[in-house]
Amino acid sequence: MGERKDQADLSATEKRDFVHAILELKRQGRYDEFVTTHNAFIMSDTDDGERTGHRSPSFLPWHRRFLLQFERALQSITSSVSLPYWDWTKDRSPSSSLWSDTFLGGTGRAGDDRVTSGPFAFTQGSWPVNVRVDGRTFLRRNLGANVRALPTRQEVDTVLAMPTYDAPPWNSESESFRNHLEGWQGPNLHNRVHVWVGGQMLSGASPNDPVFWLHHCFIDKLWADWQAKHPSSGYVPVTAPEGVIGLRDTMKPWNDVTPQDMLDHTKFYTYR
Amino acid sequence: MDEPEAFDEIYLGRHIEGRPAPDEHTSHPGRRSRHPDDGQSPVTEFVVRIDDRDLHVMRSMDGTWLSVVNHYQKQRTPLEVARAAVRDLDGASLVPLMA
Repeated sequence: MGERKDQADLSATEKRDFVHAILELKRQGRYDEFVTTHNAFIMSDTDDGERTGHRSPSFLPWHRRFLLQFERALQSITSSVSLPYWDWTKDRSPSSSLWSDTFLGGTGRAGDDRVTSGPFAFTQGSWPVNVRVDGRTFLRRNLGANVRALPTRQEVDTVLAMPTYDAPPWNSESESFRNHLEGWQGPNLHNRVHVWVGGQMLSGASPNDPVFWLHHCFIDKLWADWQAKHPSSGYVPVTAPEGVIGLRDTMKPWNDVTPQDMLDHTKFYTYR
Repeated sequence: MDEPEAFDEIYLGRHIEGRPAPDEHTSHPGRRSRHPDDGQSPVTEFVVRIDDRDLHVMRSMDGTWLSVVNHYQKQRTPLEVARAAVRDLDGASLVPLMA
């Protein structure tokens, strides 16, 4: 069983293997399918209609399943690979090791925000942005430009202290752990990190930037941490109103997995 | 909740326009339709274009707006969403919306 680690603790070999597996998935055409899926859901998950992947209770189990599918795809290339997580409360600078030339590469250049370092730089030739919102086919970032700072550990702790998983109206208005973690209310955790990175990470096609997986891996870990702190507080709603995913309702696009199936991450991986 | 205003202007050299639209013209391909006797829906459909290309926009329950160009940072109105998208696009064209 795989162990998901803090990206700062990966060995050089582990980083290289992770990057290689991603590039290979891209080359095979399999990576872009994940971008297409994510964009389709973010554009159709609405506050007053059907909502599965975002702004809803199933935001966390949906992304857990989504990440699991991606991780398994990586493991089909190199079986030793696990998703690392980015603890942005700690590694909160554009010069953090996450952004090094031998890992994700750095911020974009002035003018067009084009990433020019690391394995995903356009000039490397291995990372064309195919599933896209606009005509630009190069990876873009503007680290730290669009928002004051990444969330702090203190902000995370206040959200982890919230005792209810979620609450009516089960959308971006909810006063709940899920919605404060997602970032529509409260100090803004998950959403703000997308904005801090900039470039494609701002868009519905955010998985175009491989940092998407490390960010959501940390979000997934925070859910696991919250569960450990609130063991008697389960996923809600059990019986959901129309458009919302209840505990035992199946989630698109897979239609064979429920939030209940995704509650215990230790069936699939562990966090270090 | 107030209906957002239509707009039609040149912003940083790009033609941006927006107007309320009926449900059939929505840019939410996966969206479920509401019951016919819903009465006043709090969430308005609104169509935005940049240089004649559709910009997917979405309204949240609190009246703020997002677009596919920036789906994580709220704007107050569709006009502000369109202008923010123009700035982010930096001259690039929108591609046709994925269905």
